Amino acid sequence: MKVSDRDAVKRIKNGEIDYFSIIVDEYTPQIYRYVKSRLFQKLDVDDLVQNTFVSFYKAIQRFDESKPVLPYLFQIAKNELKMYFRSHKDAVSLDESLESKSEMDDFYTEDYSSVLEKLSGEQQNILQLLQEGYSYEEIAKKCKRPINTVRTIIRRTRLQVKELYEKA
Amino acid sequence: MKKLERKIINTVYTFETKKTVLELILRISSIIIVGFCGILLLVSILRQLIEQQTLDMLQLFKEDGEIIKEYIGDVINTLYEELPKHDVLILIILSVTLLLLVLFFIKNSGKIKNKIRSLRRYWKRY
Repeated sequence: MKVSDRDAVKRIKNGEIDYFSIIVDEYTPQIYRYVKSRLFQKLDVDDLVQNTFVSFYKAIQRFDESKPVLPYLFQIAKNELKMYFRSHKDAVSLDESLESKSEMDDFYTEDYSSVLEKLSGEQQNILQLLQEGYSYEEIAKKCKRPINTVRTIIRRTRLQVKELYEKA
Repeated sequence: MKKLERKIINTVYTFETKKTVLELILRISSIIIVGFCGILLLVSILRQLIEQQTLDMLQLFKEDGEIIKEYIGDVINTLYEELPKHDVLILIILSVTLLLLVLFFIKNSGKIKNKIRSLRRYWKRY
């Protein structure tokens, strides 16, 4: 007899943990595909899928069983991916950054300045603020523009810079 | 995929086993500790009352109804004055806490029973 998600969640909440295997059997392939489409290392994919289900289990007492399970699982997987990417951000050690400083200086003096000249004043200004470490919100305040506009300008500027580099 | 599913289930069961054991230990030990403290306090209050001979006043209830009616007010007043009020207050708080702990335990006992049954079944299999 097939047990619905709603019944399974109700029973899990009541302590019948066996029913969690129904949820795992049903949704692992979908969550796995979703995570795999964004990550390529199999071990990490497995870990993230596992974390997704364990997080769901930990939060199951707060979960409203009248709502579908899959979107909730996707949301958890999305958050897990966010955390994964945040923790795997490329970090440059201080020594390494000092060593490469001279190369970066050349880059800024030659190519970079010629690329910058081709951008509009506002784009140059925003790019400068970004380099100085301002957040999007702070840049929006400084430039007196809505934050979404700033986001759009930054996205377009990045594309433009990329294109200019490719041409160069 | 089956291997991953088994791994997920195993992680969930391991987590739940630890959680349930910890929960049981905490609940039972807190009931025992609060109960034990309550009994100790009750014994100490009773001993104090016996030493003060306050409890002798309760002999009044062996008398006729009319005498009881006449003196009951005085007896209650004296009892109230001679009671160690701080200790009694702590005893009341402990009793209420114990009652709540036991009620929560009884309320969740079905869920805990189901969990233990599921966990036993799973760990027996593996």
